[in-house]
Amino acid sequence: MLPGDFQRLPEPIEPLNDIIPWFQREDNPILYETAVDIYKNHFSGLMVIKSISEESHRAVFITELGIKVFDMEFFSKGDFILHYCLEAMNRRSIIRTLQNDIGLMIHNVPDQNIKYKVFSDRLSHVKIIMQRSGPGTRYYFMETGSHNINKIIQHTGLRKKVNLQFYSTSDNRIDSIKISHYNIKLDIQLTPLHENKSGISE
Amino acid sequence: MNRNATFFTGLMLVFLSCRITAQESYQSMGNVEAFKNKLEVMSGSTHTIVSDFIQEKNLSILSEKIISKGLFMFRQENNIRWEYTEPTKYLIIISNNKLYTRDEKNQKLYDLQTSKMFQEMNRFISGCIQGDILKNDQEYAIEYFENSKRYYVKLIPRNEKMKQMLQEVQIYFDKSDLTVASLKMVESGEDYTKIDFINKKLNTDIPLEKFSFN
Repeated sequence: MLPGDFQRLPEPIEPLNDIIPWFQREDNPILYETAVDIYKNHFSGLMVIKSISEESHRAVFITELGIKVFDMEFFSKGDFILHYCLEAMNRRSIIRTLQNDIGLMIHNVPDQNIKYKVFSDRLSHVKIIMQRSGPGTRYYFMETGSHNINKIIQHTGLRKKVNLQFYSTSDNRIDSIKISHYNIKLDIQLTPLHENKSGISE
Repeated sequence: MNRNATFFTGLMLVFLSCRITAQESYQSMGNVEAFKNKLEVMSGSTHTIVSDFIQEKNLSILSEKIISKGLFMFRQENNIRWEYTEPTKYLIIISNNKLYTRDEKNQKLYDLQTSKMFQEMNRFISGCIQGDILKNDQEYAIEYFENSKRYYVKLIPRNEKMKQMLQEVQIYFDKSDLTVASLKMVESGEDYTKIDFINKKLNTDIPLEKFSFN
């Protein structure tokens, strides 16, 4: 199941609370240039990702023209509220996929209350935290010496389903995020708009 | 009340009265037919419009507003170019029953006749710019207001499904030249998109290439 030459490590090799979720950092941008490619269709726009309280985050996707496409709220305990979705997109399968993908992106750390196993690559020393989640398994990848999750692979049954990658050249800032699917042609790419071109005004 | 407090109260009153003057309230329009006639004359004599625009998106979850900027061009009949330059580059051209979009990575061409949604979008945008939307009182309940500087028309969709997406549209026309000064689309809750048109130039020469997507 795991790529490379991994060995199981005695757990907990590092307490999970050392890992800082990307969207819980103070100077985190809230506006992301977003591209969605689904089969042959390409959509672009802006995604707002904002922490509403300690327990919840809101994700709102708008087109460049300002049309709101969806507004979702994700709670750290897994609850979810769909505040709004354009009627043309409001299909159960679409909402479930977006709920899973964006939820995985926002809560990008293993759940401390669920059992997990830690593996380490013998050569690169990349650590993988494996955790069961619902009907599937999630693999969280960490570079050596880092407190950041830089990749998550989600399996359903024996098949890979979602690959979520956080690209970052510094310890604190996301350069871009890419979510891709193995079983459907769906890619979502987000690039943060930092202060100098954020388009945010009081 | 000591002298300082009196002075500050006075100063506050001066500022407040300035603010009230700046945001002069609207009253019901005196002569709606005259306004419609003037708008029709203006629309008939305006062959091109070039204008900078500032788009303000207000989301109830954000205390800040999302600001986009760009350049808008219109040429009779039904050629529209909507070019966003900030915060991201994005281009929309509507011409010859086609809708073209281009961002930094992708471009796309849609046939308006094959998509009811894009047809509606085109009808809505050009209807707002040219004022044709005011003829559509079957789809919208229309209310007319004015102050000394602007005419203000409020459109409320009659269709419940449309209302879920768009609660009302507010169009503000400059009284001096009858062009659209501001367009506000109010969604559910407190969310809205407001587009202010500034530095408008009428009837300048805009080459047709600006509306070509080859």
